Amino acid sequence: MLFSINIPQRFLAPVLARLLGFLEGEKMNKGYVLPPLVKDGNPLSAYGLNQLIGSINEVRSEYFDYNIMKQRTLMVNSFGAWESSYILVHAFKTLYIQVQVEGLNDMGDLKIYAKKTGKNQTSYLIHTAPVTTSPQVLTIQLNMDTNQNGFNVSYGEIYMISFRNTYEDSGGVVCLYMYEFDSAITPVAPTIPTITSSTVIDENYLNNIISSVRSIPSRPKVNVPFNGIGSPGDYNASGYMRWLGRHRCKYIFYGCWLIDGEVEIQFKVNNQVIDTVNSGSGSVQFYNRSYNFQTNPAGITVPAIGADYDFSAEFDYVDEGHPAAAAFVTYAYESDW
Amino acid sequence: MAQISFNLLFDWDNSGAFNFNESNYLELASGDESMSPPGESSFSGSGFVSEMNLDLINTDSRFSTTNSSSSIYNYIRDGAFLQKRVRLEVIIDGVTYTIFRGFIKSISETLKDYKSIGKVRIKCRSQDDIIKNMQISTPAATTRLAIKEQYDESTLISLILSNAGLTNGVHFRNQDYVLITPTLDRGLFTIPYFWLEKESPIEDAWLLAAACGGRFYFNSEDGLFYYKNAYGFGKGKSATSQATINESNCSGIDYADNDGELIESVSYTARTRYITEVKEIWGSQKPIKVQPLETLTIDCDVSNPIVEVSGYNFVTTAAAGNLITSGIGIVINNVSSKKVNLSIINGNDRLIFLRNFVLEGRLLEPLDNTEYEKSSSASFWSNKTGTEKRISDNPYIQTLAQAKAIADMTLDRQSIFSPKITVKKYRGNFIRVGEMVSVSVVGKFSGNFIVTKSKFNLSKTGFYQDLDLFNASGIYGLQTGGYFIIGTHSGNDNKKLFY
Repeated sequence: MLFSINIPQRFLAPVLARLLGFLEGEKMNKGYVLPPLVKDGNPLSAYGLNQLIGSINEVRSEYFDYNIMKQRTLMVNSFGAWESSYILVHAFKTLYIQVQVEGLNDMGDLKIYAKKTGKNQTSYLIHTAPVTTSPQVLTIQLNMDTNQNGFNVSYGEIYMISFRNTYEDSGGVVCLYMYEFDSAITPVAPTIPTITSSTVIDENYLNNIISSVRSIPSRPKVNVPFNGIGSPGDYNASGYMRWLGRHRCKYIFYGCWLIDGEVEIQFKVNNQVIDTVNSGSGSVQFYNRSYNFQTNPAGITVPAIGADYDFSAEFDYVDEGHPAAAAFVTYAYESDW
Repeated sequence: MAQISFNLLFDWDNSGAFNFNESNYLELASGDESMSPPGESSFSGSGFVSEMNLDLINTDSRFSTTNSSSSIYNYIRDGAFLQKRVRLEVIIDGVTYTIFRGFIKSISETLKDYKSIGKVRIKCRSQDDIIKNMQISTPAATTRLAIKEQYDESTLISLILSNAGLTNGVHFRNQDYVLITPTLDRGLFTIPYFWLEKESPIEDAWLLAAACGGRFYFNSEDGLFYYKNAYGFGKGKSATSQATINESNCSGIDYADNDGELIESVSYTARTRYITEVKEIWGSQKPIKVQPLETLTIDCDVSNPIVEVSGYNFVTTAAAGNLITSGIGIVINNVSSKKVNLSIINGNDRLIFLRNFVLEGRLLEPLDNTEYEKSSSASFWSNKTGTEKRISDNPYIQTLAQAKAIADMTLDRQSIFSPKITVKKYRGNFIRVGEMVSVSVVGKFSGNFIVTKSKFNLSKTGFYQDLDLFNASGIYGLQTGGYFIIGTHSGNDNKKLFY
């Protein structure tokens, strides 16, 4: 039973939709070789079975090890300071967002921004939702196949979603759920019957399984290795933040804000320093950083592909003369480009 | 003694009806069909274009291309004969066999003199000869589609033929055909990456078939292109013997013990690739000069197959070096696998130079090759030294799993000593290359064999074939009945997996 694993339907829905082959859009290289379809009268080959097994193992690894969409990320206080980014690969038409907003004072409207990953990308305000009571749950569905106030994203491209409000010094949001799905279909799981030792294995049976695996969407070109991206709270010297990642891609990209005074962060992979960011004297400063695991300039022991690793941001220096000094890690993800 | 008659038909008027029966002029028809070119292994990466030579009596100068009195003069004059269709049918004991179906390649005339009555020799080739000479390129969109869909070799052969201008259902039948038996077997392997850049579609299909242990060929019987996958290759037609050959229906059978096809070990190289990140894929070596109000079209040759072109960058200056920031348009007209054709539109009324012009996009670039090697474990080799078959340049062997499967198959095919059987002047039903026949010589040997070469001869002395044969029982590690067949077997059957 290939898909009997207990996965929340909201996450499984797009996967199943793709399994059934209903969806359009680019699914680029999956990173593994798919099994070929078979035909009655041909032999069952070790090659074909191995590709099927290999693909299922890849799929299991890619989709079923972590359930990143179940995460809730609580953000309180100022949106402007505490902004977190949610990273998605555009694979399905509709972006579903459900948030609980809380206005400590009058937070004004909830504003949703989108930005593609990469250098020199523009942040677009793609949606504004009025907040009328507090607390309030807002459900928003956006058609990401269409132009959203200037923001266009193609299938396979990576983009980030973040929240702000009208008044940056008040209000908060709990992101309950965020995922893409296709609203045009009702997903139905493939039905693959069980067999006995006397069942004749024919092309219909095998191609049902093979087609299901072939139709699974491509491996995301980005992988979000963190549970709850963002770093609410003040950090003093010797403070740190940690996330668990699974190494699959060439680069790890991460961003930080260093605020109000001289602050220094060391980014580490498995407790090995890969980058040190020092703000120098100044107010708010933004940094977008990356580390190439392949060229490995810091000479660390790079985690094996598929291995979990510890990614941490440690504050080894904060100017004590600026008690409000703080630092935030705004996003982090792995990607091949 | 078999009853023999024949029809030699020409489609001189291109009607498709073969209205011209020239049988009365035929003195001799001979032809070759083979799995591989002469001197090459029957399991090489090259196929063979079937050919037929016709010697026609030309006493009345009917086939003279310079004879304006000939009733077919306008069909053959000034090279008009080239690629006219021809078909030879032989009726053996009331059964009609289409021996050859192809196109005229040349006509050479021996003029009438005191020694000769005057003859022409017409050389004919099967349709793959025409297609073979084409040079086709596929668009980058096809490369992307192939990456996305990860086709098997049969689908790619269908794609190749379609790109060569052939029509599914007319020139071949792919796996989309349900009611009529496809001529392209279902593929057994997934080939992740595909592109063509000024390549012969036939030679590429041969390579593709060889990379998958199968055979791609033009069937001069029905005029369709065929692909036999690695399993079909060893079964011949319908997995049953198509003829029983013995000393009574041929003039001789040679049993040659030699090592022509014998190997002790194999080394197959998988040429893997990956899709790059977006990067510069082409840069102009020098500033591009565009005249005032000119639209300049250029070709940008890229070293590796293009997956997509995502953008471009350049700086425009006037002749004096000052920046130009408006009035310039770039239109990408066409992106083939290794070439981008684009137009630069200068809307300014002065000369401009595009400097540091680069195209950005993603390519398919090679990774390090991986190699699979294996030596035969057969006791036969314990006191012998054999040769190694090394395949390192077939671009369609793209994964180690595929290399392993094909190498294991090749080793099973060729590491066991297999005699070469040659049948001389077989007179019976017509046998085609790839078919399986039974051969028996009382007191010597008997068994099933695959036909690897065939030569036919039709003359006033009758019709016969010379055949080269390969032992069918040594094609795989097991007999074909030993494998688990989809749609036939269950877990209770004691069957093995194919490679």
